[in-house]
Amino acid sequence: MDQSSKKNSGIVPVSLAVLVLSAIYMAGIFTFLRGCGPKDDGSFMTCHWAEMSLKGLSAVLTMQSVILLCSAVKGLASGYAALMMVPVSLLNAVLPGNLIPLCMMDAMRCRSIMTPAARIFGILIAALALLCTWKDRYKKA
Amino acid sequence: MLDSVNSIKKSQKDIVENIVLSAENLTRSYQRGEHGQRTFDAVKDASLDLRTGMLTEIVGHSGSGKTTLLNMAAGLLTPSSGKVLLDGKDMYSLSDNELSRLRNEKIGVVPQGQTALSSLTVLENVLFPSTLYRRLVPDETVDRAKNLLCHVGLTDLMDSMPSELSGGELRRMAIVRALINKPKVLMADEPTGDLDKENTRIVLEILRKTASGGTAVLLVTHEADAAHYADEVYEMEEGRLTRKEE
Amino acid sequence: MNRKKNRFISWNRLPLRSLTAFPGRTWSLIALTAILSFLLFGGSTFLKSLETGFSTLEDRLGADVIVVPEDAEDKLQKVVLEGVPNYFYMDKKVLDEVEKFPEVEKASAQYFLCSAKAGCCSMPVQIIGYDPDTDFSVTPWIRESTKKELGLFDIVVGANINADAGGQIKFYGNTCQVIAKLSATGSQLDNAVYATNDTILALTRSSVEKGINYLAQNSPEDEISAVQIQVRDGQDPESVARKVVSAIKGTAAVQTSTMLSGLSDSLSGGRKTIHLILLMVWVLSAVILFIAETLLVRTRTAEFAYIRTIGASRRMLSGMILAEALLCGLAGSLIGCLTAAVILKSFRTAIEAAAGMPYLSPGLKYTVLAALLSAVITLLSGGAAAFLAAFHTSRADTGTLLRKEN
Repeated sequence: MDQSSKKNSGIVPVSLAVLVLSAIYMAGIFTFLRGCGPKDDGSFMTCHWAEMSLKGLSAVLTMQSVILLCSAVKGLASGYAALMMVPVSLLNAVLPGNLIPLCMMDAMRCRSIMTPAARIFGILIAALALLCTWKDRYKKA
Repeated sequence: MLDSVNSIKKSQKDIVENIVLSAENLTRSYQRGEHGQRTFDAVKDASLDLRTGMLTEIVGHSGSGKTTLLNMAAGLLTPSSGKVLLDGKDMYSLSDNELSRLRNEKIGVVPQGQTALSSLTVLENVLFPSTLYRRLVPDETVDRAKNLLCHVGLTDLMDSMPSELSGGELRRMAIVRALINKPKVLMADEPTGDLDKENTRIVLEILRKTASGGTAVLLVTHEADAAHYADEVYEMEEGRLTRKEE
Repeated sequence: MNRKKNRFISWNRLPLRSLTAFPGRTWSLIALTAILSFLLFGGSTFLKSLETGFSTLEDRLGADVIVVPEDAEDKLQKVVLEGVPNYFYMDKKVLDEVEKFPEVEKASAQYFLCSAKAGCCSMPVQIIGYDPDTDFSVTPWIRESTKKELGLFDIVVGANINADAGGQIKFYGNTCQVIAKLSATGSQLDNAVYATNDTILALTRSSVEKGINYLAQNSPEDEISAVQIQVRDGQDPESVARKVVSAIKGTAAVQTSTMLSGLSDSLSGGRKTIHLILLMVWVLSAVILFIAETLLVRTRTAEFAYIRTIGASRRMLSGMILAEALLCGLAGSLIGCLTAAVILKSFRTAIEAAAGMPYLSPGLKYTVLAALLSAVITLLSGGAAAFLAAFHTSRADTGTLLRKEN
């Protein structure tokens, strides 16, 4: 193993953590972290579009983290792959309530469960992705 | 090779051979059995003087008590009876703090097996003994460490981690580390234990040169070739130490 | 060579170097201490939040006695404690009758309207009509306002309604102006909206037009849902309640202290259970931490023997082991407390709904104190474990340790 590989061996566990978090978040946003359901007449409230966007972003994050882990395991330059996850996860964190409005009451699912989860996971994933980028700093593309 | 060793020995006749460390009637007993009803004497009434400029060798089979004797002489193992005098001071009458400091400043030990701190580089491992009682290591000590590493052929591995070194390289590093504080006494326990012939030769030569430089060296080994490098040879048999005639 | 270059070579820096060189081992210890501090801080803050919510609700109710229609006591409890919007009505004359009692210092009527199946939300919203001129339970809790008197379609919102003073909310197609926002109580009253009877009337008409509200036969002009009573000093609320019920037919009087006593009992019982669970889990975590520290020291016997060999005293060695444990403990405490704080703050409303009890954050002062105390206890636990292990190792003769290793 050359020097740069040895120095960056710590990137694999971190990218694994990124994948685990992304996968949990994706599974969650489709199930226990979902927003408000449809109204009785079948129509959706405004928060529904926030939920759909978060579902899409979670899928993108999960795919990106798979690519990150694979490149880390293979010893490739993973810093850029990790860096690309940062804006996506930050978007995930700020989207509900800021870019797409939510329901009126704090007690509703979109505000009490979905939004805090999106923020926490978004920030955590961004932080870990930045850590991966930093750990990969010695590697040449 | 033998000629060069002998010539080094002959040239040392001019050095006054002062006694630096004196072990007097050392005994070490261990309790055995479930209730400690049996006593085993690992070392029985052993006496030994270590002199400046001289390499003293102790040979013996495994389990004969050589390591126990070395540990007692180095201040690492309290004898059941007897005393160890270093520069006239009874080591085991000192407090732990005093004895530890004395050991750090005056005794260099190369323990058996591979001993290094895995979290430090080779250079840091070598400098480690000099950091214990100082806030910062003087630059001269760092330079000395680098010189010593150069002498033993480890310059290129200064920034490597111990896990990257071979057995012989680790042993050489251990010797340099033991010498970093310019000790009066250097004690090496089986320094060639798991080394090949070439590395064995290198290590023994380093110890010989160290002795020639004025340090009192104690070498505990069952290496047959080591006797050629020694000024004095003792034999340890079932805990009893006897001097071997030349 | 300048001094700066060899700054890494130092006895004091060794604990940190040892920790960073073995991230797996280090992070395991940090995780254990994080769990300890998470439980301590999270558990104590959760309990304190329940207590704070309860005491705030007591103050918030304001009234000593609440008069409601006969058989509506349970419905009132559901509105106040469980947040289940409801409605019940009695003749407006009940207010006049109540005001005649000499023991009554203040009386104010409220009208409950339920916005079930409204256009705004998937969950029902409790809309409460009140008289700002006689009210004493809503106005004192106004946190921010545009300082305007309530007019038509002007509303005061509870703390959980996502609109600030000056904002707007639509009900049944009517744009309502938020002129004030109430302080949080941690109860379901935070989900309510308050308005004058004129606004209630207008909203009722709009809901009928939309075919949503089937209570068209009720009107705040003729009926009320409840009368809030504050008794004079020295008067017994229980006797006042009995007098009102016996004097005014078709009514029931609920003492707020009685309504809350059941909640208080639940809180007590819940508190004891949570304390017990927390204690058990904490003890288990502390034991695991102790075992981990002991095993860790045992696996590093060769390393410690070597450090003693080169001249470190027993005190120095113990200090080094303790320093490592404290560094891990500090990091773990920080992570544990931070995680608990983030989860409790972010999911506050979800926790409140799940608890089914008033739940209100205890404030920054308590939070900081609780975090510090949790960190100290966690550090002491880890430190004690490391100290015991280090004590045992440093007492042994170095030669004996070396002999065992070889």
